[in-house]
Amino acid sequence: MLFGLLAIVLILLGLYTDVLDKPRSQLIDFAKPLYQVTDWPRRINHWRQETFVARGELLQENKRLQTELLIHKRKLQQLASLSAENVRLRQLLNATELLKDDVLVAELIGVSPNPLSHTLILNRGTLDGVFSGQPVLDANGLLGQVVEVSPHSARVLLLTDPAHALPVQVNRNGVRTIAEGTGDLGMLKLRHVSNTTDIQEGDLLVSSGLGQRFPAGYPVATVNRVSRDPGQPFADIYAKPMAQMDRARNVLLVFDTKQAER
Amino acid sequence: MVRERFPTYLLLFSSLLLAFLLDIYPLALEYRVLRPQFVLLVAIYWVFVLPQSASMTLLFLLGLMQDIVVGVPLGQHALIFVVVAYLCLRSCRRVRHFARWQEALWILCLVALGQAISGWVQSLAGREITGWQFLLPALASASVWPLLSLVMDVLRRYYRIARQI
Repeated sequence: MLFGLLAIVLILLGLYTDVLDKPRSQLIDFAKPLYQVTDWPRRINHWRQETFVARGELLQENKRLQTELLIHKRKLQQLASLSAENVRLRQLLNATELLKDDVLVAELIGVSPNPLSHTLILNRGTLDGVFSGQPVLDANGLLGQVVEVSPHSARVLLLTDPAHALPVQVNRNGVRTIAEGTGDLGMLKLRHVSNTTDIQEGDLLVSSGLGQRFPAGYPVATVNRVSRDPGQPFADIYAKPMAQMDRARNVLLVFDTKQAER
Repeated sequence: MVRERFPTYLLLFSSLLLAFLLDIYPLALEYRVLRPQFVLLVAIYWVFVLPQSASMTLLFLLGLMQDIVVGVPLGQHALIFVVVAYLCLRSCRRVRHFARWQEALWILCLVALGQAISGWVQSLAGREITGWQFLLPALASASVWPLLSLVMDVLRRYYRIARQI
């Protein structure tokens, strides 16, 4: 009875105030070894794949990677002149210069067993400079943000978690909206978009940076279903996240210089 | 005295540790709802075996530990453990005479109650549960129970740990 009450008080304190956040983040580190142990089967599998591989396959992969690198290098050459041009144009417009972001590579060591929440556990913590609210990317786009951080590990809330929402912009025409998680790993929902707004299937959504949390301009999702019902005040728009929510192993933690100072 | 109890502690802690590992083993999201509540099952097993030594404080702390490991609001599993263990303590003398499948039915009720509590806490945190899906872990737990209790009974007899009255 007493313990039941105590537990309810703890739940309510944890949900509606932030007094428990600090002790909690100190305690997450205890969970890290457990997650590392459950990560072993994957590690062993990975090691096996890397070690027992045919020479021909390696050569083939090497060739493929070299071609890829060549293509990217060509793109980069263009990018250098483009970004210089962008800076010049921005100076002409008296606009502020875009900030360069630093990144830290982190490895995923576990996923939350709770089927209702989409969270990941990373192997970096405050000792590596990770902070709460830090944006997390994978190779294709935004993945989520850090919600709890302890000295050696951090918990990341994915974009698709039902409790998550972020401000986005349509890349084609700059329409601003909010993308919220649905609880489905492959789907985001755009909130409060009126029926007449110009959004089409296939549009790329990028982070707008308006929430002061995510840096602007990172790809978030592509619109894959738009249904406009004249009887409803808003259109139903669903988008597919660019990041591989359930496959990403190595992720990037972004250090926005503004946020790191804060 | 300590030497006599050593196997009990060993089996208790190793079973709980294994249950924790099974509880967080990464699964695809579609299968995650079908994961049995291993820690709860092992805790229930030990409450049935050692009702005299079962301490609410320890169960509460075990629940807090699971909250931290799983990453849910502190107190969610603590509440589940305390409520379920209380019911186990009240019913352990009757359940003792059940066959395994009958035990499994009772486990189904207990875990379903635990799932209802966790659904309540999660809905406070803003994550809605859709339909009857929250009962799936209870079904999975009940179907795992006969095997789990059988294995644990074999181990318990091997280490000669007697049931408390």
